[in-house]
Amino acid sequence: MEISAWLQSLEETGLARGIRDSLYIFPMLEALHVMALSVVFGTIMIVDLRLLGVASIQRPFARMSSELLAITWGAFAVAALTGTLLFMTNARVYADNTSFRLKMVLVVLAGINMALFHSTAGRTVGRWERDRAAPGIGRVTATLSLTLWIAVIFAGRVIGFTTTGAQARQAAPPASNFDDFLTGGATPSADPPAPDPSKMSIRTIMAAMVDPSGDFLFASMADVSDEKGITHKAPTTAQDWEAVRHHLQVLIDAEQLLTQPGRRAAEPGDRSSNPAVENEPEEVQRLLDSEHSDFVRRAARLRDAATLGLQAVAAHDKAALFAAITAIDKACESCHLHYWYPNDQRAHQAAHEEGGIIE
Amino acid sequence: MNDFAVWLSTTPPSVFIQAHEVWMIPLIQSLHIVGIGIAVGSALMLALRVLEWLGTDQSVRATQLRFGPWLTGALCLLLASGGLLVIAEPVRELITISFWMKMLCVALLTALAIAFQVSVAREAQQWEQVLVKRPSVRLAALLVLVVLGCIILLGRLIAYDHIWGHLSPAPKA
Repeated sequence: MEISAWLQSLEETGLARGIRDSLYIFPMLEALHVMALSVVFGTIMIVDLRLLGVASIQRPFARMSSELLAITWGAFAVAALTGTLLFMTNARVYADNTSFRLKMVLVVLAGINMALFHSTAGRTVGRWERDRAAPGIGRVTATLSLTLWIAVIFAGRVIGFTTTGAQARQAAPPASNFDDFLTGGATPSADPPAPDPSKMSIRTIMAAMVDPSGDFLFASMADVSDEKGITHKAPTTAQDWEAVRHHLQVLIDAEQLLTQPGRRAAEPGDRSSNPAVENEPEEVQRLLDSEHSDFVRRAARLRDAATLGLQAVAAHDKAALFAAITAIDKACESCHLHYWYPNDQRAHQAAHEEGGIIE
Repeated sequence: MNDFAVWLSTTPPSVFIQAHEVWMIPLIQSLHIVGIGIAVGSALMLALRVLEWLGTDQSVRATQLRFGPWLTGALCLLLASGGLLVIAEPVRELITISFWMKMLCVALLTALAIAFQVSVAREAQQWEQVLVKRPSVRLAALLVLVVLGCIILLGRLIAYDHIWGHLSPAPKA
């Protein structure tokens, strides 16, 4: 409990607020973090390969490592500083993230491994530094070092793909609109604010805007089979194209509406019409709250597909429009399969056969 | 390009990665960062040696023989893992201004790396005494480091393209 309060106070510092409120600082810090980390890993790898006798074998170890050490530590300091600043913006969520915890453990292990080297093979450098490789223990620590740092990189990258743990879900939502601009889904999201009953629910937006526009678009490009044979239906007149453009525009703007913080899954009292395969609104809400960045990413897919449709409309290109509408269909189905009817085996099978995106 | 991106996203390899994206995309991205680490380490050693700030107990030629192949190998790994990421998320990558500016920087870095390595192999003697003193060569060594920094920055910005996405080659909403 005390730790949680401390983490919260980190989030509420002026520094953390400043980073959150700026559109640019967070990505810049991330880029700096990757730069520093690549220097740390790159220079450590050079030393480790020397210890293993793989590369730089003709260079005396002491000179090489002392030259590189300053660079490695300098870069590590930058990585630690930028990492701390990134952490502060959303401390409780990161602290609860399994990949983040794993990464910290791995960094500590890498430090212990380095201490192990210095207290063993590191003490006798003078005896072996002109040999092809370090003695056994030196080679073991070098192998461990390479493994641990690669694992640090992997754990670090996974942080951005994982949703928050159970603890953060129960915690009060942090006062942050940080999520709003994270449509890239590259970093863990803050918990969404409490549902706002004055806003339309996602279900209402779907029924009032997204479904009608989707249906219009799907109907605008179709193969019609009747007594005259098979005909391909597609926009022809200027009005046809303009109508398609209107409905694509609805889908593009729907992304913003759907992902707004505080948006409820459904209206109070709404129930599933087919509970055998569909999630009830409470379950959809739970998924949305715990995986908000995932939902944002899926909504961005819909926007991307519809944006490509706009380009097709501008060029009056029917093949491109068909491709974009197919992409819209897949974006819809993939999200529905995840949130709405995850238990519908037939829908899963159909999506699989059509090459859809199933997660 | 947009049509191509949509088409690519419907091809079997793309669909396969998307179907397993929960673990495949972070795995490929991590490999990509490992590649960046190797490239940055190698390029840093080469540039700092040319600037005579580091490793002066080794000749330029010996330094190039040590780190050149690793730089080339890392660039190949980056091309392969980066290619997979484009196949996996073509729409995310191909319509962002950050991606195309990054590719411009990658082309520049590759050209500099090839020119450097070929030149050192051909004119090893010249490099040791004459070329490392030449201001233009030293400037080029610094340029390599700046370009590498830009590549990393732009690579990260692909995920934040909406910050300056109005410059992207996507149709305006």
